[in-house]
Amino acid sequence: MSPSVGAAGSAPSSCATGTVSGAGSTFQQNMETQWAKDFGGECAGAQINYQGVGSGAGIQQLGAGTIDFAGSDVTMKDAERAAANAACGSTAITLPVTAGGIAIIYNLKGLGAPVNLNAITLAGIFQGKIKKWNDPAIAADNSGVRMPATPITVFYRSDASGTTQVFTGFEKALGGSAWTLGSGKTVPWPTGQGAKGSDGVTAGVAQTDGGITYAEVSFAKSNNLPTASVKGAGSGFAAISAGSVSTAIAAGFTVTGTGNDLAGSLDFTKMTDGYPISTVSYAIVCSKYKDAAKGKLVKAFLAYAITDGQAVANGLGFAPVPSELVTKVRLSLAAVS
Amino acid sequence: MSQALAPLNAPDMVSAPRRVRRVEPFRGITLAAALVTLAILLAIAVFLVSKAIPALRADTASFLSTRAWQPDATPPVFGVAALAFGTVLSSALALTMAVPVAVGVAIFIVEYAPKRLANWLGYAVDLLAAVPSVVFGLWGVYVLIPHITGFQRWLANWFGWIPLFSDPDGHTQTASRSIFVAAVVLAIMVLPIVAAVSREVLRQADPALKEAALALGATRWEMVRTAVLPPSRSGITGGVMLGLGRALGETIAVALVLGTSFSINWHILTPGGNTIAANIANYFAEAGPTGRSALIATGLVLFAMTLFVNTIARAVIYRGAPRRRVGR
Repeated sequence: MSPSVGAAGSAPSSCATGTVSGAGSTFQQNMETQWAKDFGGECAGAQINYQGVGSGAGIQQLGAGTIDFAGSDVTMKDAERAAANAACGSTAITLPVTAGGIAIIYNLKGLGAPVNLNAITLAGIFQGKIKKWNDPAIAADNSGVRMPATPITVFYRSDASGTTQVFTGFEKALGGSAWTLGSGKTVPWPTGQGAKGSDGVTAGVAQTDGGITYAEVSFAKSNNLPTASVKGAGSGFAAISAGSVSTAIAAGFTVTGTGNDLAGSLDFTKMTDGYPISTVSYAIVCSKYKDAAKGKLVKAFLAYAITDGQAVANGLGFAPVPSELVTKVRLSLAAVS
Repeated sequence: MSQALAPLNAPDMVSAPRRVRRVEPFRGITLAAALVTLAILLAIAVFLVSKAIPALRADTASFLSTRAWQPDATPPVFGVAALAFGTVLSSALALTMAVPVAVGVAIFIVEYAPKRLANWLGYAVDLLAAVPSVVFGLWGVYVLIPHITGFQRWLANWFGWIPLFSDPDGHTQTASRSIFVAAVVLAIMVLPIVAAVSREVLRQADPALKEAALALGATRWEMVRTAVLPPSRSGITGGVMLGLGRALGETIAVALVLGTSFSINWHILTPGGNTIAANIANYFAEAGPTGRSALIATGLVLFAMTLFVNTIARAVIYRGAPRRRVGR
């Protein structure tokens, strides 16, 4: 599955003027900020504001009518959908705008080779069953590598987070009976230490020899920490990269929305190729805006984001949306007014 | 009220009416200020109660005793027990650390320091109060935690036989985001408040009493102990209560440094614990309708706790006040 960037150049991104505000997912905040800057540079008189307040808060603000579009890592629940439709005065539609992988970030002094971990080993680590880095289960994933006997310190998100939801969703799907915590924005972690935000957990790992956490890959890069290669439903261990995430999304993402709504579900068991802890992040927009000028600007902005905007994904630690899905998003956007 | 004032103004008949007219609008303004404050307090209470009720109805566990936080699960299970415990424990620890230092610095500034140093030190303490709490939180995460690890390990090694400092699972071998760390950050934040109030209170000590003590041959410290501290006790207590209020309600600094968990944990060196305010900061952004309402319910508990603390502070100050007058 090749990323969509090549096809993007042909899309004429029309400009519009005015100001629109979006809010929501902190996961996609860096992408939104970059898009807003680049789009504003191409289209004079267009101002896009995005606040990373959290997916839940973004959806709530859309429902309250205080923002023009929401960013979200999750699809809306029925009650939220009803509120958003009412605030829009039309159907609110959910569109995938970026993809990203959840990296397994670790800190292990004196180990050069990248660590391999499969879903069941990860389940053991994050639930405190596997306590040392030289545990036989970890050693089995890393044959030929001499693992140190350093104790494992797990860092998990102390705040409610879509990142936790994706990671626990992956474990719930592939950890088998070894995973007992279910999935959600928060789960009752039996071991380790909580820290606030992706920066918090990554700082914890950076400060702790033997530390491990899950976070967006950009935080591994900014802290110079390695990321593990992960095996999910596939036959081999995959490293996280823009390409491997796009590949996994192409295989594991299914649209479940109807009509122009492209809300979908992730099936981690189908991500047999590519990096298996991958997810998409959505923009939620009104299909027909009460203020036509705003509708035009939101449409132009997202048309830019889903085409030319995908090129910035890799540099920011994200992955481009697979090209098939880009085509669908563009079709849906055509109907937005 | 003009009738009540009239007798006082009686000897000065000419200026009396004008004075009454100038006083009255001011009374009105201050009365309005007082009423607005009360109204705000009442409005907050009404808001908290009304928003908390849906969650309390939905909770399938006991809100006051449950140690879990899954309000958006089906069925919702959540409770304030671990949060309230952590709030009280971290604040109490913070005060234990901060109060001796704060009162000490206040005594030094008022009684011992040369005037210039006293001024400078006073400014420094006040400046500490002006540092935003998020800065304390970030400092805690990136500076304090890596540097306090050794001290936590030392405490656990040598004082582990005290249950409070025991570390059964060896958590202090790594950087432990414990209640102790949170309490250290809180102590630093509380210190300037307690120190500033204590300083002003100590300054009010009766110079005649102090001179009398010195004249009787008391050393400086004996003078402080007999003539300065006893009449200041209630005032200092008031300052401590103000500091406690800040510690109880501190949000972002605690959220940043504490490795939260929903257990009631007496081992202050091990990671985990949680406070009401930090939990609200952690969960509000991603909370669903029940979750939001549940967080507001915990806010109501915090509100009640703070009100309780303030009432006690009041009682202490009033109880102390007459004794001070008798002393004079």
